[in-house]
Amino acid sequence: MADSNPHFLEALRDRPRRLQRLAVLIVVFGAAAMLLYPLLGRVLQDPPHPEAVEEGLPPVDRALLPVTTPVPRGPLWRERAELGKRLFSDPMLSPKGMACSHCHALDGYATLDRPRSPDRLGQETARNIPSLLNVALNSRFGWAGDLRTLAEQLDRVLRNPRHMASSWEFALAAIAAKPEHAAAFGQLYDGRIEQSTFTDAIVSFEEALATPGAPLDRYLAGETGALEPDAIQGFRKFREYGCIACHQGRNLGGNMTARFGVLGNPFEDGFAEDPGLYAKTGREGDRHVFRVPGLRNVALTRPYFHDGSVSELAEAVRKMGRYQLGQELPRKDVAQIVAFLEALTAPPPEILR
Amino acid sequence: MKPGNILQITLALGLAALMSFLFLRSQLDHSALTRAESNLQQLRLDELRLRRFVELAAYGGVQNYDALERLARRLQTGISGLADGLSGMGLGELTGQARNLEQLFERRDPALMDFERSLALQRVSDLYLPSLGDRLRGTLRRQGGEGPLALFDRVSALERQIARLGPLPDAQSQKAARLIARLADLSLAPVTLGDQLQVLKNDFVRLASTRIKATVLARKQLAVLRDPRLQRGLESLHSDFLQQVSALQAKALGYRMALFALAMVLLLYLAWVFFSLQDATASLRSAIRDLNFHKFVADEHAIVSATDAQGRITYTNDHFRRLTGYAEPDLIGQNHRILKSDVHDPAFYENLWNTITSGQVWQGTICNRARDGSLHWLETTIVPRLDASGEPYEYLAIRTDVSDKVSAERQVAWLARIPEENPEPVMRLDRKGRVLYANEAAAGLLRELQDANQQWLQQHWPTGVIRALETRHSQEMELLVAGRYYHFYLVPVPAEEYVNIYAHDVTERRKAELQLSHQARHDALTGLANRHAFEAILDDAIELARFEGQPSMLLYLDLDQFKVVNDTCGHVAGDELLRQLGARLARQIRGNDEIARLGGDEFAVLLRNCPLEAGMEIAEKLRSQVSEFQFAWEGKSFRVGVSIGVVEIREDATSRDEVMAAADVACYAAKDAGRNRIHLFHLDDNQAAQRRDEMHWAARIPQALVDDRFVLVVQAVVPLQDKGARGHYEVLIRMRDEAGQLIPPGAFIPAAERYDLMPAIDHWVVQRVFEALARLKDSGQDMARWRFAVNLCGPSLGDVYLVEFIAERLRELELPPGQLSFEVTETAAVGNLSDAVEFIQRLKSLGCEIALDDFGSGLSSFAYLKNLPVDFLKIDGAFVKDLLDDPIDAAMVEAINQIGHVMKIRTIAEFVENDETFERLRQIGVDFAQGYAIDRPRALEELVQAAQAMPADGTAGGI
Repeated sequence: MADSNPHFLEALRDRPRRLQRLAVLIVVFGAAAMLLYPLLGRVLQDPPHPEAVEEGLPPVDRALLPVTTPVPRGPLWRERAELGKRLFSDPMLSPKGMACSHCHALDGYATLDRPRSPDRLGQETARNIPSLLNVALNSRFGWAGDLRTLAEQLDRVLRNPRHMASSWEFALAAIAAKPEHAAAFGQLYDGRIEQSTFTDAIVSFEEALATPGAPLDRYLAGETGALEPDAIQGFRKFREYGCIACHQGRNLGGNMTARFGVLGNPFEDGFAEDPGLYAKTGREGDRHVFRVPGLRNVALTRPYFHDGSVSELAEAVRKMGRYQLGQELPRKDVAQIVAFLEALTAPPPEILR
Repeated sequence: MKPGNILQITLALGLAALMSFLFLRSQLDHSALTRAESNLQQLRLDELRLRRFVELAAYGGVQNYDALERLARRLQTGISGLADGLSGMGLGELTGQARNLEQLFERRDPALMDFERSLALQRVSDLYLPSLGDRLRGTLRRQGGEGPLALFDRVSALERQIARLGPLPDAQSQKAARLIARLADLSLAPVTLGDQLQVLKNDFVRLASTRIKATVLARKQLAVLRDPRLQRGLESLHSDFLQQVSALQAKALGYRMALFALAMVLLLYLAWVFFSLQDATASLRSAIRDLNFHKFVADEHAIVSATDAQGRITYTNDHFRRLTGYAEPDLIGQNHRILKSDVHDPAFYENLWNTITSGQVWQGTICNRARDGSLHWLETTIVPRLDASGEPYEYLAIRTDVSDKVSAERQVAWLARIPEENPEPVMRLDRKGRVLYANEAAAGLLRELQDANQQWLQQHWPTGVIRALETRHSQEMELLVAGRYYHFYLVPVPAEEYVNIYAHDVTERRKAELQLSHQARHDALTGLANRHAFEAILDDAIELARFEGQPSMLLYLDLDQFKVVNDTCGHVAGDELLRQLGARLARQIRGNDEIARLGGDEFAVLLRNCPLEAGMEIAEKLRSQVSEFQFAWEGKSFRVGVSIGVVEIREDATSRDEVMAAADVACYAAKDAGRNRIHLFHLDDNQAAQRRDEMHWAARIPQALVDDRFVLVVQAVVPLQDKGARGHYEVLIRMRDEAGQLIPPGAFIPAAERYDLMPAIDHWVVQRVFEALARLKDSGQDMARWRFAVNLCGPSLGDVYLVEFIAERLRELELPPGQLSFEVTETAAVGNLSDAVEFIQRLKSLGCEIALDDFGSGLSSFAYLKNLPVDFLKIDGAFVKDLLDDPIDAAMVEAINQIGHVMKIRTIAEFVENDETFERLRQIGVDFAQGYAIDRPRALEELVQAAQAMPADGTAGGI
């Protein structure tokens, strides 16, 4: 087109039609600007300022609290727990072929009736295998209680050459290589196979290991007949002897550390020497300090103590009185306390049934 | 890629990068910020609550650590994630603070653990110490005694004091020390106790001191826990965070505005581009329309095809397919060779391929064969398309069908050969006489012309050419070139401003013509000019005399006694005599003069520009030459003489005939004077008057014909011997002058004969006679009684029209045979014998009778009668008039009558003026008579009217 003028302004000058077009252009442009700016503003505007959440002081806890059915953390929590259970028992995650369930057996109350945890070759480790039931109610983990979260615990066990001797790369690769795992991750974690999702699955499973419904829980919930008279007496003795000072909270322990042997020295009395928390912190005050274990289902989780050297519950109670109070507890008291402790036994969690 | 494109792409990428940058910078992770904010808030709150819990726990208000632990864990996870979270949000400045907080927390956490432991220990003591104290006191009370009771009191006091030992202020640590000292006292108390009591006391002391130590320890740990740095750090982190967030938001807003502005600019630009594109689209559309049209036009005009490097056809347009007659599927993939014709030799194709495979354009005319076998001449341009390495990968062929042109060219070439193949010169000259074209013959001719007579070409041809161009008519020229005659025919083409010249070698014809001309103009016998040629010469002389006053003289020579030679020695001798005489005479005349043999023994000489005396001398010389000439033939010797009539040709000379007549008259005068002499013609008064009269009549006769002033008269011709024989009327003509007076035929007939008016008069007469016959027939007359004889002059004998007229009229009138007869003079019949014979036979076949008039008066020879099939002999009146007085005339009449009868021809005697003559004629035996003695001429009109008035069977007037 010979008369077409590429220059916009010249075109304006040349043709009235161009002026019309310019008017249209301005109208369209203005309308677009008016329409777009609020949208942009809405998209880009400042977020609402978070209001300070005032929360009243929590009520003074009673020493013991009932355990209730664990509340799902999210919509896929149960499925993730199931995935965690499968991962929990998958030996391919470890080059040694050692699954979590190798020690934390899933067929009962998640402990082995052995004094120490065996490794892949059947050698026993230094410490007893703790039950994982209600483990999520703990706030400190490991016999030393130096771990604050289950994730740290998992990390340690996975990479510990004496336990799973694996690595995150290995474990995640193993997961990815297994189609059912990969599919589950695809479904539950958008295919993200990584440390966080793997950990989340395991933790979800561990959270599902709560055991509500023990007689004590019912008793605490107001069902006075839930405890036998001996158990009630045992509960009273449990308080009087001050056991409850440390074996406290929902899990009757697991939320603090304490020195093993306050008024007596168990390590001079047949227990295997163990520096406890000292091995982690190096503070002299932490020598022989261990995590106070939770006592739920204690009647079914033999053997007892860090080295698993005691297999009788009554004996364990007696030894606790001996070393912590410096008292030889009367037999009757021991029996009653044992009765109380037996009342902490709850049905196994749904996920293990 | 062009530098402009690189610039554009770089610009676009840069713009995209800038906008992406702006967009990313304008984006704030609000949920993350909110989370961080609430996290910080939560942390502050948790820290506050943790401190309150700790305080509460220190005063024994906390029975389990679940909540405390939960707070601690939350704080730990919250604080440990702070640094990474903040740096992830672009708040790197705060990570130092966060790390600091993390360290603070990590340092404090063991203190919390220790604090919990100490408190638990304290609580264990608090729980068990009363029962232990009870047991101790109970045992002491049971034991009794001053010592144990004192101890009892001290134990109770200690118990109370220990129970009151709370989270002691610093000042109270001394109190704890005192209590421990008292316990030590207690353990050292010198009270004698039983073993069991001793053990109890020891246990109590150990437990109580543990309690006190635990409390002291807890007091110390509480002091650590009360360290406000963590709380303050959290608070300042929070406020710094909020500040930083505000700054971030301000920055993001800035980027947002920039992005918005850029987007608007882009939008504006896009809008402009859109409208420009609309214009461009519109123009493109029209351009495409134009292109399509042009393509259509091109397809209509040009034949386009493409082949790949191997010559396989990859594309053809409609025109191509239309021309070749192939459908597209038949062509695509085929080698172009399928269109090859056998017209070109292999070298042609080799040259073509060599040209285009070397990457050059080939142009030429190529002949292709269509599917139906027809050949097409295509003006072809083949353009190779070259790839990057310069190798052709495609050939585009654009062709135009020039078959018509080629055939036209061939036709033109073929036609162009016509002049080339013409052995006669053909050329084309422009207005200036320049040769535009000349065929081979013309080129040779031009060479001849230019060599021989260059000037002529330059001077004459342009005039001929220009005359042809301006008159627009062809011009003809004749030219002798190198001894040959050429006839040039100049055909002008005015529109083109040139002249085509066709030459023709007319040498042979010209020679033949000259020959003919010579023969026509010369007497074969003597080689002298003949009569015809001499007449032309004479005409010239008369012209010269009349208009230029140059007088000449005519000598008319008539040999005397020539007949003697001819009769005695034959024609061959006569001819020889004439030849010798002719040569002899020719030698006597001057160079300018002319001599001719007019025929027979007549010669004529024209003396140009000659005075009378000199002329007479020459005439005398000629006469003496002839008379002195001795002709010998076969041993005999003859002499002839010559009579010469001399006429002066002067200004008053009128016509050749007049001059000739005058010469004739003069010659006869010379003969009359005794032969072999010279007579000079003199025009005397009578002669002059007669001539004027004749000239007068020449004008009056046609006028009289127009005015119908001729009158027919009839005179009866009656039988002499047999009364039963039928007579007839001779029709005679009279002329009435303007005054109404009748004029006798002798007055105008010679003039009519001289001026060649007789045929017209004859025709008039015949017409009138037939009218009369028609009227007579209409009036119911017995037509056998009305028979007429009509005179015809010599020239009329050859008049075919007259014969046909007579035949037609006879048929119409249905007249019986013999009703009409015609009289012809002997002179007229003999002068044109063959025509006369034919004429007479034709009339006789129509039932007419013929009479030979004035027989005996002329050169009449009886021999002619054998050839002329006449019915009557009309004996000349001169014999009849003097019949009675002159025996010779009587003998002549008898002889004629006798011969006529022998030849079965009836005889008629005219001029019968008295009864004696009439009687004599009857005695002689003449068949019919005519004359005043029998009947005087009467007007035909009168006769017819009388007859009409009479009864049908009346005989009055009839014969």
